This record gives sequence, C-alpha cells and structure tokens, in this order.
Amino acid sequence: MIQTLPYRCYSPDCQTEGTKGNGTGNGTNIIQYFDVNINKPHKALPDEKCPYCRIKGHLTGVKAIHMVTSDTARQAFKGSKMFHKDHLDFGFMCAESADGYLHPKTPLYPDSFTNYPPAATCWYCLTEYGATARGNQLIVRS
Amino acid sequence: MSNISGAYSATYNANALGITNKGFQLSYQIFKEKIVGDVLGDSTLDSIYLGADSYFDTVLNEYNAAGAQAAFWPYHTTFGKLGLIGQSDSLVASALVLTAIPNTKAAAEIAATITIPVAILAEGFPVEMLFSSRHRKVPLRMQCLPTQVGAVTTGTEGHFTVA
Repeated sequence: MIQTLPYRCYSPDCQTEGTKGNGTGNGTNIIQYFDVNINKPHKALPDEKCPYCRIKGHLTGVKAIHMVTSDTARQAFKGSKMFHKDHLDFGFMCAESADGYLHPKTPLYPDSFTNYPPAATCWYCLTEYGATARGNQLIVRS
Repeated sequence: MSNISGAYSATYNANALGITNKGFQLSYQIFKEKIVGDVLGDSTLDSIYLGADSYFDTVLNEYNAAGAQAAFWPYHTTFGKLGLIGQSDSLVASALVLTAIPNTKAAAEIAATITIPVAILAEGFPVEMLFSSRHRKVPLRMQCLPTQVGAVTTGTEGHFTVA
C-alpha cells in the first residue's frame, strides 16, 4: 500500500552551520513528502535524493502530526469522532489518521494532534485543509 | 468530583521528545501596569493589562529522543557549537505539540491537544545533564512566543492553542 509520508533531510550539507531558519536554502527544517510502500521498511529513504543537498540516504521520517477539528464545523472526517465528552466532539481531518488511530503499527498512526495547520505534518490532513502541493512540499496558509 | 488526568506525548519540530519524567507544567505570568494615586497611597486603583509570558517545563527521560537535541540545544545542529549570534528566536523556534494519551480523561478534555507553534528554550534556564552511570535526564523550560493563531487582528496573537 502506497502512502505519502513526511520526511526531513539530516545530511551534513543540510545541517551546516547557520542554515537553520535564516533562509539560506537548507532542507533541514522543511518537511518533504514521498510516496512510500508502507509494507516495506520506511524508516529511511536510501534511494531518494534530498531536493536541496542532492545527497542520498539522509531522509528520515518525522512523526505524523494530524489535524483535529471541531465537529461543529462539519469538517471532521465522517464517522470518526476522536473525543466524546458532553458538547465536545473533535474529529480527525483525514481518513488516514482515523484509520491509523485504530492501527498503531501503521506509519500514519497519529503521534500528535494539532488544530494549528502549520504544526501538522500529515499530507492528507493538510491537503484536506486546503494546502497546495509544490513538488515534495506542501504550502500551508496559517 | 471531576478530576482530570492523563499523560501527554510530545513532539518538537515534528520529532518525538520521548517519555518525560513528570509530564509538562504550564506556567504563565500576566503583566500589568498598576495605576496608583495619592488618594489611596500605594493601593492599586486599577491596572492596565500588558500581555503575558508562558512557559512549559518538563524533564525529558530520553536524552537521545529524535526531537530532544533541537529542544535543548536549539541554535546549532551540532551539540556544543554556539550557532549564529544575533538571530531571532522566532526564526529558530519550532512547534511543540502535546497530545493526551488516548482513552485517558485528559484525552476527553478540552486540552486534549496543546500546540505551541513557536516554542524555544527559555533564556537563562539552567539545563543540567548528568553524565554518569545514572539515568541521563534533561530538564527543559520552553518559552512560548506569540503567533497569530487566527485572523490578523489585534487580540488574536497567542502562545498556544488547545483542542
């Protein structure tokens, strides 16, 4: 089964001094997405080049941070309530997190949830939210 | 009696922080300018609200968790190097996301997920690590810097969001 999973590059070039946060072109802090066969080991992508440093073998998976949304907005994935308490109902933004929530072994098992889109890492949640794809990245409006 | 409890898992910059010693302690300080007048001496007549600072304290039990080093040594990717002097914290900071463990009371509460979009190690906090045969723990105090969490309107700037 193919899923789009979040990765970061931890190559020496992407980790060089002064590159974090000041816009000099490293990929360290930028999440990239790759289509991965989740039936095979997916901890690293040895054959994929980082689009920034062009070095293979340093792409490492990051935790799946999914989006939750209040069901009052009718945006939550249908039939998948995460929390139930009186008037509080939060739902998953995407089907993958709802499914992953029931299957902890899957790579998209929700490690964390957020309602702040720029902090999320799940391709499916962010696409559902309205992020636009640019190559291996997603551009998210906050 | 309604008591809320439940452990939280955490990620920093989308990397796991591992298990913690006692969870996460939120603390915040409100800032105000006091209005005093001669009529009542030093008594506070009124105050003007001037914002707040918020912090999350924790002790990491996993020194080598994927997100730990970025949290305890944020200014350079090599532990020990100082990094770029003069850069802004908001450019170095990353999102800290706390999520209640499923099926706990905390997971059914309004703060089941807590997102601090712009979190960074607080100034002056003494991070102390014991290099010995004993368990290496890492105490942290993460400061929440403000970000606009809604429409760009005065009053929507926030330190964290809960859901």
